[in-house]
Amino acid sequence: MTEQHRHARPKSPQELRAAALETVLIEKGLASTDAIDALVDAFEQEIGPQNGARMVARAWVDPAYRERLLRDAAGAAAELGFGGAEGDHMRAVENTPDVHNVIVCTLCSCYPWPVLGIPPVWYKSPPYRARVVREPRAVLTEFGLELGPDVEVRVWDSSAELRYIVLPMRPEGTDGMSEEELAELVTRDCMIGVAVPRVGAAA
Amino acid sequence: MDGMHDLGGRQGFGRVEAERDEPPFHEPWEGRVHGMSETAEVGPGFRHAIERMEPAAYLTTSYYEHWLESIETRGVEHGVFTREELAAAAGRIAAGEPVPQRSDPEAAVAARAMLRPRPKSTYTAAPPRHAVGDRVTVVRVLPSGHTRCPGYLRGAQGVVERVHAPMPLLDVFESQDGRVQPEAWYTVAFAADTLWEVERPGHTVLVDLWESHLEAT
Repeated sequence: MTEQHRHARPKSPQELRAAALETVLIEKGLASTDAIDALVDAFEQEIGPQNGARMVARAWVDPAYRERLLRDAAGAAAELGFGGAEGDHMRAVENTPDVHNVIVCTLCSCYPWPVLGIPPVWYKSPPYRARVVREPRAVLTEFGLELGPDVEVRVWDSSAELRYIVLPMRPEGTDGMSEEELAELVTRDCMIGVAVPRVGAAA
Repeated sequence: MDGMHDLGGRQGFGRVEAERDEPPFHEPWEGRVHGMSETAEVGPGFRHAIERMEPAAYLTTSYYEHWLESIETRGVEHGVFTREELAAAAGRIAAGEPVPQRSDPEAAVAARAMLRPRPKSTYTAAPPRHAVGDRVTVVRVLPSGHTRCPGYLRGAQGVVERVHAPMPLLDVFESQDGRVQPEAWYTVAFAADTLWEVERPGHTVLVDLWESHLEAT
């Protein structure tokens, strides 16, 4: 947040409410500017789907890591330095030729922050939360993903404190790629399960 | 609670509209709300305060407006601040006064540490009543307060897919100050065509549920 932002008059009712709340919390000594700044900076600079993509790429090249990821995703994330709020408990669910996994939180918007960052607005939106549990193939089609009729779709409704991440299948034609190049193929949507990694697609 | 937040399976919504290259926070105030929510203690019940929103308001306001509402509601209900104090501050801001600044380097370090690997709490509870592969039925009567059991599962029959180490039942944890009731919890698989009339081929819905949400079939 720049000084200019902090001193500009609020442009929207929401911005005014947030500024009033921050004022009250700070005047009562219940919030500090730099603690709020630290969290904003963490999500804007460091924490995002690039973290999860590193885990997926590592799992693709290192079978022992893949096994640890599937057994204890929070532990596997911690190996790479990722973890904490909304990710103390995590589970990776693996796509196979027979099974495709999709993540949702119908009651709220639970999401594995340490490895995927802040969820996108569509993930938090009523249409996604209402529909993907009931008609996942229709929703996936809207995202451009058509699955064969023999593929079992598993929709994980994260209702407790366990946060889910999809481990997608490594795409064909990636044999010579480095771990870093592989991570570039793994988008946020692949780890939610509304897309699959494609060679040539931008991460 | 049978609030508007309990969206799973509801019909009538349109397409899922995805935004390209979406930033973590669309406006600076969203980041401020996120930071306040994670660092300022205004009392328990974060989610339940959102669930109690008037249904039409819930559907027509954004995620971070929900968070803002939750902090304001809990702060007022727990006696941390008053509506009058919020209104007075809003008046000063609208008149051009800047948001005050307060430095607390230790709090900033603690805030950043929340987003790093940290030890997990462990809890003891009665042994799990169900095992992997068991058929279970979801209870029909769910709490009027906060619950982690989606309404679409009332009376549904599923199969235990995984048994997890005990954790506080969050139905209780979020609603009542201080009380903790650790229980075994489970990932339970439901055939979607036992929940709704669904598209073919059918699919599987897997939900994490506590002992209190289940009975043996």
